[in-house]
Amino acid sequence: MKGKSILLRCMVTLGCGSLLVVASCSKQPSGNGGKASGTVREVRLGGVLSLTGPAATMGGESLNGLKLAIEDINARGKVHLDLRLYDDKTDPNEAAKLIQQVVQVDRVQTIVGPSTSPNCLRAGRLIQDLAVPAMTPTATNAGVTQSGEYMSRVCFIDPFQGEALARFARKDLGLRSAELIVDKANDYSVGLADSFRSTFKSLGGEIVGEMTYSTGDADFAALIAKAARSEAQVLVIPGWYSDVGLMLRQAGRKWDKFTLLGGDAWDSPQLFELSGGNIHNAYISTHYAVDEPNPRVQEFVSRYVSVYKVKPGGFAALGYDTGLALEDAILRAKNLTPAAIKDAINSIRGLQGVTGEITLNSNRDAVKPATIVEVLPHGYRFKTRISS
Amino acid sequence: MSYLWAQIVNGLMLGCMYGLIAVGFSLVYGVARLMNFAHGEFFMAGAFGALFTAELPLWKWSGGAGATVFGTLALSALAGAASGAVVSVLVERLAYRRVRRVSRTATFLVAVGASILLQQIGFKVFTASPRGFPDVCIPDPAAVPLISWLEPSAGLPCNALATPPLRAMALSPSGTSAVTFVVLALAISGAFFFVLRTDTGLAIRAVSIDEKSARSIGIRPQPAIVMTFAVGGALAGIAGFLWSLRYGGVQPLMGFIPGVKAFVAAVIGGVGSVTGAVLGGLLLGLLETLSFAYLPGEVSGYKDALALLLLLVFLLIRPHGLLGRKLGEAA
Amino acid sequence: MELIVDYTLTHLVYLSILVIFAAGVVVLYGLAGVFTLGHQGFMAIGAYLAAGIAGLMPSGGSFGLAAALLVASVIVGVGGAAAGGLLLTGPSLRLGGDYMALATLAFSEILLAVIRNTEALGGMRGIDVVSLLPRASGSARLAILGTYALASVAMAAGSVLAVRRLGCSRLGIALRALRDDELAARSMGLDNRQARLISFSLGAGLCGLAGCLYAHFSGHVSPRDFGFVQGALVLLYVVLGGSTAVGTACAIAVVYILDEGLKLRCFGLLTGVLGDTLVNWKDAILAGLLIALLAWRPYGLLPADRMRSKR
Repeated sequence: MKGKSILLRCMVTLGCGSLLVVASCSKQPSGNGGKASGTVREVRLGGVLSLTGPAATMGGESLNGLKLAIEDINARGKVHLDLRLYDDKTDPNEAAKLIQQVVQVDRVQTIVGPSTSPNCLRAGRLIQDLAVPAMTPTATNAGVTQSGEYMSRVCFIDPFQGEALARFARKDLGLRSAELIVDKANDYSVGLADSFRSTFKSLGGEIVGEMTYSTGDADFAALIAKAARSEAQVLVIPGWYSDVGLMLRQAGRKWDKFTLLGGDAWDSPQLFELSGGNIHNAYISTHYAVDEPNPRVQEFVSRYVSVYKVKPGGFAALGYDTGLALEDAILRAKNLTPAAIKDAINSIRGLQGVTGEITLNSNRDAVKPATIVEVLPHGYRFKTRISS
Repeated sequence: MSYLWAQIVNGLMLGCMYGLIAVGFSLVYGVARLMNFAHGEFFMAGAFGALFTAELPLWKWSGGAGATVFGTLALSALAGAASGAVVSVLVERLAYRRVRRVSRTATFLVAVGASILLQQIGFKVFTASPRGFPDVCIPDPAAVPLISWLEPSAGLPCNALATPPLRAMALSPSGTSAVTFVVLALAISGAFFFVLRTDTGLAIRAVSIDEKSARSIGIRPQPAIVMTFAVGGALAGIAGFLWSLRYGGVQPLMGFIPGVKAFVAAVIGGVGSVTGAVLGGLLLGLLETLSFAYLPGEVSGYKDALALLLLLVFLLIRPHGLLGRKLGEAA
Repeated sequence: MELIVDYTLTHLVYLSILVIFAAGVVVLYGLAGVFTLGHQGFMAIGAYLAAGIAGLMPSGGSFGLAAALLVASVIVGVGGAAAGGLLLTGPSLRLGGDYMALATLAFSEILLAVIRNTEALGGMRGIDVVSLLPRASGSARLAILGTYALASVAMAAGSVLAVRRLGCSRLGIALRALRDDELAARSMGLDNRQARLISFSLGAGLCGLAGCLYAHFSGHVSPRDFGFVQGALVLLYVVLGGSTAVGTACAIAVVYILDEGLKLRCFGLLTGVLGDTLVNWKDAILAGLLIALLAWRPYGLLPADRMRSKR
């Protein structure tokens, strides 16, 4: 009994000791948090992105784009961005923890991320409490920026994306009936399906049915057979590329009679690998098309290809534009406190980005057109642009 | 009718895979009295082993396309079995052997720890992003009678996509079904043969019925346990190969849900019984697929809970499962 | 400095919540000897009930109302979790060992599946909890956070001591007797049913309390917070802590601080290649370490003598 209590005491001491170590060893801030110094505006930037997990492409590509932008911005010499990067593993709780960590331990003045809608929705209130502006490159769910004025984004929102898809299906393709295949575990998927449903109905289309699955499911055989019996002309599948890829592979040619529609979450090179090229008659709405004739786009594409040896997807372009938006805001900010940067971000107007002209509205959502591309077995083809 | 038939085939395929994993789980439980929670990770290891073998440029060395395809399939299956078995035996040697006699909770927690560890290693070594299993193809699916028998509606040409030739021949879904079916039948009958007809199988059964008596007639339990882990891991590895061939994706977390399902299948079938495990798996697979096929869409979110509900019902009504002896009470 | 204190205090609160949760598991596993895998379900009941009660708060309600609702939410949350525990008493009298573990696992997983599929409970994405505790930014935030940290540490210490007292009480002795040899204990006149009822409601109630605090403090609850792995990890800490409340609290504190410390590279030494590798492989290293510890000391780091009795 005696020995035990001594050991216990040792453990308690050890525990408290290491807590103190954690508390005292934190890095001291090296830059100046408050003022703009001289000519170069130095800002410490926190990145909380989904680099692994079901949204790995989303986080990874936008990070590539962001790094490219930071390189350009730092080379221009007016703003210096110092990126502290973390991976939230596409887990909302992890994202919230990391947001707190980058703000309180790394003392960043601005955050890029989180990548996905669930992660943004989870961390939104915390970001507001911590009073540090966060700009998400890729989260499109309508609710993301409702948490308060510290949350903004450079991408369009799902109500608009769903509307664009519905208008494309109804007007451009002239299709009448649709079946929805929704990922119930993903706010993005549910929100996009909702807005597609309401617009499609208001344009005189008919929703004949709805099926659900969950992120990470592997066996879609039952779902494919059930959908193949559907009367619909179009299957709308607003899900992650990781699930959709497997679904399309397993479907083989059983879904040939349908037109498939998807959202920007399909936009990943992994889609082609996972589906094994089993993509027929499919269109998605996304942020830009790699084969757009716009010179700004082509310059970005060639630069990206020269660095990363692959073609940039929509998320890469958004990552690049996030960098541009931050540069614009930081240059205009009164000083470099998080609050001042927040005000500058929220007043971004008419910024020329790769994904179009970016203007943040009163909800801090970017207002810009959606690009519809056709998904070929191994690439994309620009189809049309749909503005709000 | 054909819709029902297609869904029954889907359910049976899924069920057989659950069953295959469950057999190993059940054998291990019978011999080592260990709820091997890491069994799903042996399945994952098997899938990765099969994936890397299937990605080897075999077509460079073999003659015709047909030989390539069947050679690749056979080699992948073997590699899957081997990697499942190796990981399984390693885990037994490094983690379970020490705690087996201590307490049930400790052994179970070691299993959970091993499961997390293997997943983490998978993340670090293979990265978290899912990989597509290479398309392996039977050159002319219509030439294999089994396929047209299984899924008469789908008579499918291979679409030529790109070089290398192996990728060029996309395996049709019905072709995969046929391969899955054959390998499953082979693996399950192999398991039966091993347990019921070989000396090692006899030793395993003896140890699982009564370890002390088995010792007294000269059977050493430790080799039997290692053998059980090897066979169980190999079966899970084959299931991993079939799973990735049929469903297409390979990633480090893939073992978790099938592992839990197999766990349930083994308990429903009666832990320790090979036939029971297969039956439990089939029951679960059919239930899952048919409930999705015929119940309205809102219910489909309960797919994974269905298995556990079934488990709860069995625990309350028939705790020793369909075919099992009463186990696990005293220890 | 303010920020880092804020960070430390926040984690202190989460650590205390984990300790309270583990104290509940100590009652279930350490005292009553039930191999439970479903205790995260009790925590979920507490958290969701607390979130529901907090949702009754009208916007701009008075401070008194908030305090009343806070107390009510704790009472309802703990009560609900305890009721969930009572529900499992019946099966626990019939099922032994591994089967009981499976039954508790099925209980909590089915509960979570219902939550995931119920839109009113927020489904997979979970729900935001209306804030009953005052929130602020700046230096006021630190003062408030400090109060929470003090309160939660006090509650954690209270639960640990209470569970420790319980172990020495008449009930605790009866429970241990029943756990170690049910037949002998019953032949001496101990009421198995009653003892189980009490221990289950107490253990589940503590888990529910942890859930309540978690809901109020984190401001968001989702099915992800109560997954199988989280539950199994706490059971692991309990085993490593020798199935006693104090030992478990120490085990949790050490692992938690190690985990966070590694993440922050904060021991000063963790830079360069070695630091990168350690941080990258953190989860694998911790899992391996825990396995090794279990294999090396299966009765915990500081085994109580009674735990050596054959289970």
